[in-house]
Amino acid sequence: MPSGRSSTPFFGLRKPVGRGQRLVSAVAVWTLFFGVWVLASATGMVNELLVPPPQQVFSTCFELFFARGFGSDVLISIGRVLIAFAMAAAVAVPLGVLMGSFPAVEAFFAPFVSAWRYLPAPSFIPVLLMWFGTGEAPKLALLFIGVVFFLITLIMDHTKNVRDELVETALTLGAGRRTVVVGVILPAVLPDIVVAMRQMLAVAWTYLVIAEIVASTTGIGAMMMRARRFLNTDEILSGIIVIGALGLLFDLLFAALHRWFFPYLRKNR
Amino acid sequence: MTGSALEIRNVSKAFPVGRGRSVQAVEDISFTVEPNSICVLLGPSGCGKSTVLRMMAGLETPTAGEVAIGGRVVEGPGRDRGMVFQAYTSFDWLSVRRNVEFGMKINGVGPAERRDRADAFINLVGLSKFADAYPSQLSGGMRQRVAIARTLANDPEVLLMDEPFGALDAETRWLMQEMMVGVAEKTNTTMVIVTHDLEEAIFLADKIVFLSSHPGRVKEEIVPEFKNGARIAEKETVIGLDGYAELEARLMRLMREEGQHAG
Repeated sequence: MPSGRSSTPFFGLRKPVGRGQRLVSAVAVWTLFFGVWVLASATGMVNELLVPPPQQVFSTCFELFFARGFGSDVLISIGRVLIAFAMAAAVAVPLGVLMGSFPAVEAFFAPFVSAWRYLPAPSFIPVLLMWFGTGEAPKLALLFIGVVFFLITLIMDHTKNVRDELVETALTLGAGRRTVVVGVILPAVLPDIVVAMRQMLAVAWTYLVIAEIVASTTGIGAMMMRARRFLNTDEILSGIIVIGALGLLFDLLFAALHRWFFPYLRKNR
Repeated sequence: MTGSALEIRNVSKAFPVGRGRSVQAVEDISFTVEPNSICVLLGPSGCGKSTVLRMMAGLETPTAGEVAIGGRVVEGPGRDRGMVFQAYTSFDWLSVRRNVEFGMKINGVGPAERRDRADAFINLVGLSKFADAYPSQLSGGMRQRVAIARTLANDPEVLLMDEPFGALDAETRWLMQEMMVGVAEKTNTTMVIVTHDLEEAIFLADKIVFLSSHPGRVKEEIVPEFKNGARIAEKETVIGLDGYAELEARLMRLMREEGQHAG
């Protein structure tokens, strides 16, 4: 409980809440969630086959990892996300920066890129399966298509937001076009690129699960679809928890990367 | 060196505003900037003084006329005309020292000379204690000092400044103005400064070029004779001189006339 010394009201209108209250609130909402879940399955309000109690889900999750080799599925999934995402970034970063720097490049690529952005990536699954068979290629291709066009657009927009004065300063210091792009625009936009990549990595996870559910025998999504056939709801829920945990982990990783690479953005005067 | 550092010859600039129409920003402007002098472009907002400065920098192209530096016609931006903007332009990812070294680095100056020159100019603007700090750790005035040191360290023939102290609070502003007088004395740099601040204009200028508005034309060239050509480092001394109040009143009348035209 927050120390009752001050008279700050609990529901203060736009008054910042203290550390203590924030922590208690965060714990409370999850306690409430699991409480309702435990209660619902214990009292038989829900079919235990469809909604197993949380303790069972966690013990299944544990068992999956340590007795049934679920770890290799998880590693396969992580590998797919990282490889496809690296390929998308390798295309999107240079192209986005060039499009944001040179209107001529934008005029050429933007009509193409923005059209593709509105085509839902999963609609390519049938044709990707026909083209690439059932190996790793169609999964990587789906992730690539799902991520690359948004990433290009985000990076282009961030690049355009680099202030003209920075570019003009470099020009009046004697910089040529190449120096302006590599020496000023790129380092200026880099923190925003990392933020954009962090956002799009979450999207990549979404497409990964779709790919693995639809067309795979390995990976987290494939495990969940196998479990469905045997009505192992606890395994499906375990899969969801693992995907969520991985998403959170990668998000924290990117946040740490951001702090590590861009120490100058910290204001510590 | 003989002749003028900068010559502005019958320069006009029109900006297209769509549907084949254009707005005349400045019209038939001519004046010269003498070597080692401080020339102030003064006028009400909308008189096109920033446009004139940007044409000197080569960041805008005149629709008629030409700008020449040391006899060569300006065709684009170059290191011979360094520019300081009103907005902060420090490169946030570089320390103060690396900011100041930036121009020298891209122009192929070796590391040892770069470091020496950078330290000298960081010292000149009074930032020695902050050489290894990042710009985000500095105040607005200090960031402008970085921009000034960076431009000067690149050894330009002319220093162009577009309302460089406009974003600073009053006290920081006059400290910066006093610093610029010192910089001009020590480096003999030719400067062109755009401002709409009358005090700043009188304090800094060897010559004031007053522009009228809509479109911008040279209304008058004014030399603050009362300073007798001296660079005086303290602002209160200049304000106390005979002739200061008279000139300020004269400039105010000019400003008011032009402001009324602009509506």
